[in-house]
Amino acid sequence: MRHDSLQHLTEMDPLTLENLIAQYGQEVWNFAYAITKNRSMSDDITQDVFIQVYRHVTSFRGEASIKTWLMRITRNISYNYRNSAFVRKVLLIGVVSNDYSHSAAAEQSYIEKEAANHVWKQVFKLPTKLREVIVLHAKYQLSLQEIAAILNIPEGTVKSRLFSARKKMSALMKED
Amino acid sequence: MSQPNPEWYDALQTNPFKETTFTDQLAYKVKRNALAPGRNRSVPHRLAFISAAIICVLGIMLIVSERESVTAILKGDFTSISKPNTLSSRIMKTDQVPTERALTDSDWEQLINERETLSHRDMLYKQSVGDNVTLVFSRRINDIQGTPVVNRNTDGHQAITLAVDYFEWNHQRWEWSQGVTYSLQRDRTGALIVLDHNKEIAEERLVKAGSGVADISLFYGMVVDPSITQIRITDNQQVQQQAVIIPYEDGYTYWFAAKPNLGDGYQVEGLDAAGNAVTTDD
Repeated sequence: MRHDSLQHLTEMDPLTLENLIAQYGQEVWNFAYAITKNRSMSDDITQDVFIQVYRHVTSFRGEASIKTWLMRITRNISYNYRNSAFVRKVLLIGVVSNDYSHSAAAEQSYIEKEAANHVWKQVFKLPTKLREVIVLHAKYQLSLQEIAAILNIPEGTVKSRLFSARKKMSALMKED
Repeated sequence: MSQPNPEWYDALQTNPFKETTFTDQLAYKVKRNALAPGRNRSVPHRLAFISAAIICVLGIMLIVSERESVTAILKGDFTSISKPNTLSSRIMKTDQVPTERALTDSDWEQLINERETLSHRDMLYKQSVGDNVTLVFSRRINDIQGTPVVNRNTDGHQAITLAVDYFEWNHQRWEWSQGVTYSLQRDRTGALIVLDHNKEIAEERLVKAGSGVADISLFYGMVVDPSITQIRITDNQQVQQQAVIIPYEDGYTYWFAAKPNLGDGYQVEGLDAAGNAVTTDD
């Protein structure tokens, strides 16, 4: 999708949304999972990201790439979900509430069994702040400047976290 | 980083899992919910601590100034300006005050921040009232500074300030006339803390603020419970109006409505997608 095709939109049409979902849906999910390590939560975060994107396309100011914009929204929403100690919805009408209570152990078991390769397994052992930097740099191949914009931290801090993440990954890879 | 990338970087080019996790079914659901009327969020992103009383703060600020014709306002001449086609990121010098009526979002954001001394305010929404008045709804999030008034631990807490600024077209420029604000806190867990009868409580459904500028009553706040997809304001003559729902890139959902000031007796309700009341004024 062309960068300038979104820049001047005041409203998004369904076809553009569909194209965005097709092109970036998996990447948004991947990044949400990298932060939350929870599949259900990542499904819901992905949904919320594209709802926001659809309804607030004018927040794309064109100074960043579409991917960077989407990753920034994904990160913000992911942290909002994560920062809740538990998530429960009480409704006046009988709608089943989603529950993210399937355990960290269950997710870890899923990672062990289904991770694409050994390197991804180690990435998921990193602390969140190091993991998100490595994923943005290695998987999404973003520059330090772009990563700083997504994480809203100085470039120096990105460099420092990346250094720490690589060091930790080297140690983890050697252990195994 | 000047060092070359380690060899294992290549292994991260794949998706993290063997199976496809963003399935066609999920993609369909995402698209369906995004296109559905109102906002359909599957689950809340906010912690529910305790049942909360809804606070509605009505403060009327009457500042005498040149103002829009009351007749025009009572006729419901609230015209929303859709955001301009060109999202300009040009930076204006302080002496380059825009002299055209149609400002970009960046221009409005710069105007609301001209008087700001704390952290930057982000514009959420703007609404014109007749030809010569524009209301700009914004928010600011900043770390809490200074000594707490009450002896409690506010480490990691942040203040969220919602603001509505009233601009008038005067002397060939948009001039700030007056403004109102409402503040709440976000604690370390992400819960939104509001004051209810001088007690701090975690708001789990709907943050509501009400104020007035000139002859306009303002209603604004934040949606906490995502089952709320509509907000309805009913005045003392039983005329109803839907608030604008504003999902924002920070992950929060804000809302805003402006009505002619007809005195007291407004009711603000949060409704779900089926129109059932999730919150009401008691």
